[in-house]
Amino acid sequence: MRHTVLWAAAILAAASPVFGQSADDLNLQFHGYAAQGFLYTTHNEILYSDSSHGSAAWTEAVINMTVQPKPGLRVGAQMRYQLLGGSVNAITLDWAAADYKMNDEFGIRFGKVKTPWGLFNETQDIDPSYMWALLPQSVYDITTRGADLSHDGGVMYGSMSAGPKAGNADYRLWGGEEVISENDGQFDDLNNSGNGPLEPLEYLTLGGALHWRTPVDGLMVGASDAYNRAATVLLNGGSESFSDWNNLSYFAQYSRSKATLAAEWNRQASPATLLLTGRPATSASTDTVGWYAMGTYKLTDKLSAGAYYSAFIDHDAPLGPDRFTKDWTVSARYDLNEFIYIKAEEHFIDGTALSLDSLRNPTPTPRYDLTALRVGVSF
Amino acid sequence: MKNLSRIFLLCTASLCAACVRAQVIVIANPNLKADFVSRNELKAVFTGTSTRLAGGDRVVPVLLREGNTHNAFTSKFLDRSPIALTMNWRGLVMSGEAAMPRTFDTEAQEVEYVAHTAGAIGYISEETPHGGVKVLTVH
Repeated sequence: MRHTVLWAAAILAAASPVFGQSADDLNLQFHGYAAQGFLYTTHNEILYSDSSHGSAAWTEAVINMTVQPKPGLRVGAQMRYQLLGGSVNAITLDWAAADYKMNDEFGIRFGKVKTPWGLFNETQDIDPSYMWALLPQSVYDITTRGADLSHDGGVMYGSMSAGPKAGNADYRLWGGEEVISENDGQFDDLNNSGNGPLEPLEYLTLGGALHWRTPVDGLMVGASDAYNRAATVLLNGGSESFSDWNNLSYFAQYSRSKATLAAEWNRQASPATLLLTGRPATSASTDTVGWYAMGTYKLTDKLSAGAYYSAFIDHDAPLGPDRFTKDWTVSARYDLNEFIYIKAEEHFIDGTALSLDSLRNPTPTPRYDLTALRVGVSF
Repeated sequence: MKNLSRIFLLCTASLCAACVRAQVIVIANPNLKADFVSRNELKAVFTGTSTRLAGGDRVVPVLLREGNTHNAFTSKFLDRSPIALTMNWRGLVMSGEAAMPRTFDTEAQEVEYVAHTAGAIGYISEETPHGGVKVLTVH
């Protein structure tokens, strides 16, 4: 809340030129979406829900306001209501930022801003913008995305020619403070054992991303890396300390006519030590690698189909199905019109490292199928 | 047989009329230096990737809400459906990367706005009166 108030004050100060202008002059806009999902699994309870019996506890509603008082200057904020199983049921601030784009080569936004790592991080929580009901969980894990989506600070961005006939390079540089709430999915096991955090985990993050739009029409390749500084969080009955770690991604996307292909590889090696009162210090380190390859095709203006393979492994986890998750997915999306869309998806999953909390899944079944349906309205 | 010929001629004439209706031109504020614009530039500007043309002009895209001209423009110049274009912009807006371009219900409103707004670039049917704006040649 403290961060929200501070950023609201800063954004209002930045927006001072807007006072006294009419709504039309300001280009005042409201946008948003609402989406309702349904989950069914053949085994296991996924995403904190009772999915083996079918669960509709997967709801999002987002409202966004933007004003553009002068060319190049934008000020906006976005709020979200999210329900995810029995874990998340809250209204949060997605972002609140002032953005000044001087020209194509340089722009800056500050406030609570989206963190632009990877191929989809900036849009991973904008359901209408992609065809999947669930993005590949190996890289965009919905249960821990609170740790990835945004930071308090700033982003510098721009696009430059890479040279004659060499395409364009889009860059993003960011820095600020990452704030992970006490109920984020990465603290599931601690919360379930009664040793959950007493405060949010806060740490410095610095990063950069480069997207090279190559001379090959439709082909983009890129990389991003974020340095996250060591931090400690107080727990109920102890503490957890994280050493410096990086979030590294390589990605590529190729779009031609009605087809799009994309792939991404991501590694996050996070050394950590858990210290609980009366017990010896234990390692809570993770060294995860996630990757996926996907393809989509527009069958008609309204109907798209696609498939992806997604794989995740934690090299620091014990051998066994808890160490990995592999997921073959087929998906379809139908847009009834520019407002309403429907998504249907089938996942064939092997491994229990992702999406299954230990409270609802004390002895998870390694192989299971997931059916995910989603209907949404956006404006 | 005569009736069949008439029906064929009628269908052909209707199709030609539809083709003529779908003839889209790109218009811009008369103060723009550029006289030409490439398809790649149009794609970059109307999908939010770029705000500048090769000659250095800073441009601001405007859209039509719906209709034959809008459909023809998005498919011919942007290689995507009107719905895909809308979703593209909503993704940018809701991730905090852009504001939705101004959108007009009629082509006459769009012409009026483009004529009086520095850097504005849009598209209309060739048949729509377009005094006060510059027509850009697409190559």
